[in-house]
Amino acid sequence: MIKPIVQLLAILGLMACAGTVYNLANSGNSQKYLPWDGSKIYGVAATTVQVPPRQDPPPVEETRQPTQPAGPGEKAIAAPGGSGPSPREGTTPGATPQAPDEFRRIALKETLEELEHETTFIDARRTREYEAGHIPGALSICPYEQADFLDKINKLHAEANLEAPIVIYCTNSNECESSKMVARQLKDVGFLDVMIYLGGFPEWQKEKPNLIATGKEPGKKSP
Amino acid sequence: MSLLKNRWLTIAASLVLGGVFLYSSRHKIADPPDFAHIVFNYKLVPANLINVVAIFMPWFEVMAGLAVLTGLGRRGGALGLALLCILFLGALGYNLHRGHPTICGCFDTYAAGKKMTDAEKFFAMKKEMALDFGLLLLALQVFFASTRRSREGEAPFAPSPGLTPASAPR
Repeated sequence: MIKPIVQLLAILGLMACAGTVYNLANSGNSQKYLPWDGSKIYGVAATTVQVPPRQDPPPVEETRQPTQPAGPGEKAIAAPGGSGPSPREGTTPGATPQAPDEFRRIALKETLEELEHETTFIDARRTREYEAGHIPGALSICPYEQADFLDKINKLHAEANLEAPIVIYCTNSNECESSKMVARQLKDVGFLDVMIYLGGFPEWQKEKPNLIATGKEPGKKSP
Repeated sequence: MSLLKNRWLTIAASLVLGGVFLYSSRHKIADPPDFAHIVFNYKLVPANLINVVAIFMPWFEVMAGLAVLTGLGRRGGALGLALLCILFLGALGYNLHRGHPTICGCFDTYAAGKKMTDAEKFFAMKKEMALDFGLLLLALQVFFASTRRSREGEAPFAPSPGLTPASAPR
């Protein structure tokens, strides 16, 4: 029984060498490189599962704006190195009710209005999906392409007005958590008005097929 | 019992087991961020370990798959792949139990799986669990059939008795 265990240890050693060399060899390639520790990006969401919306929402849900559907509840299973969902903060008239880990969801109509107002859009999907088609003017910031993810966030922080609204979308914000991961980073660096387009790109593609830019460049916003 | 330790069954099991894990590692190695997305989607791995798992697990599949295929450390490779199958079964089973639809990512990318509805994901999870159970049985067959006793008797890939030095004419 000792021999198979020694063989398994040798396999683990080879695995460690190959994985390390491969990852370091791709350190300049955001499509392949992963930093060893992604906890800053994944955060508490790594072990938090979405559960279906309740039939009778709790009283706290009533404070949401009309455009904000009753979002799915979250059940913290474990929170290594982070805090669980925080209680909703008190809201002031005119202000967007947002808990530190929740973001205002907007529908297609509001998204179109934001596009008309030259709001910054962020596409949180993979770069190749972005290049295949995105909302005109949107920037590509994917949380899984971590070689340059935080650099892109910092660049946006340096260039953009922190009070200006930002709309983030991915595939579908009910399932795709990339938008929330980008939104958390933006909140962390100080952006105040971060919204998530609920329908995501599939809805946009279906409803506004003529308003899609392709390629690496954001393209012009022309609703 | 002798059928379970049949040399040709072990050869076939080794080829299937090694081939399946080599095949399943290809897209994970080609696109580590996509695999990190898959690991994240399981909601079981602590945040600081997601990238570590995404970097190393595909290479474990490659090394263990090669060990089983080539016979260099076959029992160790089969043991490792059996443990991996148990891990996959546990992860998929737990997510099925708590109703969390998960894209397995066993043979395809996250992008390919995310077009599925929740019901399709649950069905796919059950299918993947059945596949993992089958692979676990293959790994156990390779592990137990490749013991020293079987190697002395009817070991897979062993030279025929007529060619062994012990039976050679002196």
